[in-house]
Amino acid sequence: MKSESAMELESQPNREPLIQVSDAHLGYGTRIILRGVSLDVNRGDFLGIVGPNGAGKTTILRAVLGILRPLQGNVSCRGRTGYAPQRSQLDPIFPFTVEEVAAMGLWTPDSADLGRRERRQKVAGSLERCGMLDHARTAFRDLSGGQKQRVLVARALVSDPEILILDEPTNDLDLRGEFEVMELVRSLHDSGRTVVMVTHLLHLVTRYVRRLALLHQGRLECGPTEDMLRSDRLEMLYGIPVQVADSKAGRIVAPKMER
Amino acid sequence: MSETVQQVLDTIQSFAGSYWASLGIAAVGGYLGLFTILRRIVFTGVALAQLATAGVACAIFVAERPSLPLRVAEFLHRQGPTIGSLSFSLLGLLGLESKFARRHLSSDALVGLAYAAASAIGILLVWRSTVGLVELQNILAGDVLLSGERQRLSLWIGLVAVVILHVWCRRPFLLVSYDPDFARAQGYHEQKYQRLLLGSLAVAVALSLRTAGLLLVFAVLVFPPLIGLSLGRTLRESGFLAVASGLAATLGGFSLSIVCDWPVAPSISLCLLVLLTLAVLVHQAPWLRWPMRVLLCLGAALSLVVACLVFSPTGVKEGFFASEEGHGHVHAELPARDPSALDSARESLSSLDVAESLAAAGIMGSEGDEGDLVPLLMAWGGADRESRSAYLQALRHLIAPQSVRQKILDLAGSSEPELAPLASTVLMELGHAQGVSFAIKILSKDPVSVLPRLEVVEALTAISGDDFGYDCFSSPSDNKEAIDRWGEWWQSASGQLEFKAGRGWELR
Repeated sequence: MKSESAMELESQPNREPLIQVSDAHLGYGTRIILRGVSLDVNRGDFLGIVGPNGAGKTTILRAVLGILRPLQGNVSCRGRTGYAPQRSQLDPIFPFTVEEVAAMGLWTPDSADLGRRERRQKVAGSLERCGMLDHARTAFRDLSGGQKQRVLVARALVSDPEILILDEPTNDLDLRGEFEVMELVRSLHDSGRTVVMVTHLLHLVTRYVRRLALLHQGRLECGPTEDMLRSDRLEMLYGIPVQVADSKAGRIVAPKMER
Repeated sequence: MSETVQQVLDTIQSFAGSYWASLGIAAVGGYLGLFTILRRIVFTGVALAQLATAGVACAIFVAERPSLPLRVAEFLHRQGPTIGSLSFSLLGLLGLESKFARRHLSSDALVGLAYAAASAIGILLVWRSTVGLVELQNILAGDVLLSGERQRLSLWIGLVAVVILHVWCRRPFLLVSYDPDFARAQGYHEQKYQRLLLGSLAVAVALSLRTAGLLLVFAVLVFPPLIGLSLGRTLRESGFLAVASGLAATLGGFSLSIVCDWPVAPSISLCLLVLLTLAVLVHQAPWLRWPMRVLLCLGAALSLVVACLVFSPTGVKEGFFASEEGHGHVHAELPARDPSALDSARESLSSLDVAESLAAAGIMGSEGDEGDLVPLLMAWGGADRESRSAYLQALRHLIAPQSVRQKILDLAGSSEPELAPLASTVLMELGHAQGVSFAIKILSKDPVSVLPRLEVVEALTAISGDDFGYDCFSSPSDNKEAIDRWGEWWQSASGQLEFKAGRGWELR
C-alpha cells in the first residue's frame, strides 16, 4: 500500500523522467559495486542518495554524469547537468580566482562560440545567484569551506543546467556553512531545477530532500523520504540500532544508545 | 662597462642560435613547469629527462656498433640521439601511465623505478664508449653552446608544436589537471588530454635535454614556475611571470658565463636561484611585489631585445671552445665570427689568430665531414700543447660518424709519412686501441721523419710507461729491438688497458 507522501509525489505534474537507470550493473573494471540498480529521477525532483561508506553513492553519480559506463543495463540522462564534486578533490595549490573557477563551468568541448562578454555575464550571474559575486577576484583557496562550496555550485550553475548533481556538498562544513549551502540548493530547487545530492548527513535529508535512495550491499531502494527514513531500514543500512523521532524541526535520526 | 657590454653582445652574437634555443627552452620549460609543480609531478619530469638521457645513450651505443651498415650508422649518429631521447621518454611515459603498472605500484614507486632504471641503463651503455662519455658529460653539464643546427631545428619544431598544442588545449589541460572528474562531466576525454599533456612535457623535455643538457632542463622546469607562483596572484599572472623569469635568467646566465668564464647551464640556474630567493623574500613583503614584477618584465624584454639584435636571418653557426675540463663555456676572448659558418671556418682554420683557428676547428668538428679530417689533423699536429685539447675535441666530434672514423683508421694504416703518425697519435689520444698497433707499425717504417716519430713515441711511452730504449734519431733497423719489445708489450697489455675520459689509458 502506498503512503500518503508517495501518492503526493506521484500526483505532481511534470513527472517526466530526466534520469533513468535501468537494471544497471555499475563498477570499475571487473569489480561490480552496484548490481541491477534501477532509478528514475523526474523533472523537479529533489533526490538524496544515502548509504554507508563504499556503498556506491559516488559511483551512481558518475554513471549518471556519463563518466562511468554501466557494465550492464542502461543509464540515460536527458537534459543538461551541472556537477559540483567533493571539495576535497580540489588541490589548493592552484592559484585560481573565484571567477576563474566559476568560469570552468562553461568550458566544454563545444563552448567555443560563446563571446567573452557573454561568458563574463553568465559567470557574474551565477556568482550573484550563489551570493559570491563580491568575492569574484578573491583566490579560491582563501575562501572558507562554505564559500568554496557555493562557488562550486555557481560553477555547476553557470551553464544553466536543468539537473544539479551534488556530491556531499556539506561535508566538513560548520552549522552555518551547512545551512547556507543547503538553503542555496533549496532555492535552486524551488526555482525549478532537479537536484540529485549524495550525502551522509541524515538531518539534511529530512529537511530538504523529497525522495531518498538508499544504497546497501550493491542494491538500491528508492521512495519518498518519509517512507525511507524508518528505523528498520536505517538499522539494516548501517548495521546499528537507530532511533527515528519526529519533532517540530523535522525528523530526527540518531543511533540508539543503550543506557 | 660599455666594453663589457659590447663583449657580452659580441659573444652572444657568436652563439646566437644557442641563445635563441636557451630562450625557447626557458620560456616553454617555465610554462610547462607550472603544470609539473601544480600537479605535483616534478619527479615525473625528472624521470622523463632521465629516460631521455638513456635514449641518447642507447642511440650512441647502437651507432657505434661496427657491424652496422655505413649509412645506418651515419643516420644513427646524426639523428639517433634525438630519436632515442624522444622515443625513450614517450615510451617511458606510456609505461608510467599504463593501467598494468598503476595497478601494481604506486605512482611514486613507478617514477623512482623509471628514474633508477633509466640512469643505470644510460650510464652502462655509454661507459665503455669514449664518444659516449663525452656525450654523457655534455648531457649532464649542459652543452647548449655545442648544439648543432640540426639539433636546434628539431628543438624548435618540437617546442613550436608543444606551444600550439597548449594554446589549442589550454582549457582542457587546466581542467584535467585541476578537477579531472569535473572535466569528464563537462564532456572532455580526460585520459586523452592527460596523455597529451604529459606527452607534450615528454617531447619538450627530451628535445631540450638533447640541446641544453639535464641541468638546464631541470632548472627551467622548477625555478621559473616557483618564481611565478610566488609573485603572481592568479594562474595567468604566475604563468606570465614564470616565462619572464626564465627569459631574464637566460640573458643573466649568458652574461655571467661570458664575464666569469663559467659554463652556461649552471650560470642560468644560478640566476634563477637568485631570482627565486628574491621572489620568496618579496612574498613576505607584498609591497615589493610590483617592483619585482616590473624588474622581471624588464629583464625579459631586455633578453628579447638582445635576441632580436643578434638575430641573423642566415643563422649563426657556432663551434665550441670547450676544453677537456669544461664543456660549454663561453670564452670571453671569442671574436665575433662570420655567420656563413662552415666554409669560412675552413678558410679560418689556418689563421694565425689561435682563437679564430680554434673557433673554426669547433665548427668543422661539429658540422664538418670527412674532407675536414686532414686539415684538422694537420692543425692539431702544428698546435701548441695548450690548444691541442680543443683541436682534439673537434677531431673527437668529427670522427664520431663511422665513415670518418674509417677514414682516420685508413690514414693511420697508410704509408703517408706525415699523416699516418698524426692519425695514429690522435687515435691513441682519443682512446682507440687500434692507434697503438698502427703506431708500432709506423715506427718500423723508413720514410717517417723525426718529428712525427717523436710524437708517436711520446704517445706510446705515455701509455706503456717505457720507451724501451727507442731512439728517434736512429733508423728503424737500429731500433728493431725496441720496436719488438713494444710489440710484445702490446700483445700482453692490450687486453688489460682501457681508456678513461679525462684520465687517459689505465690498467683495468
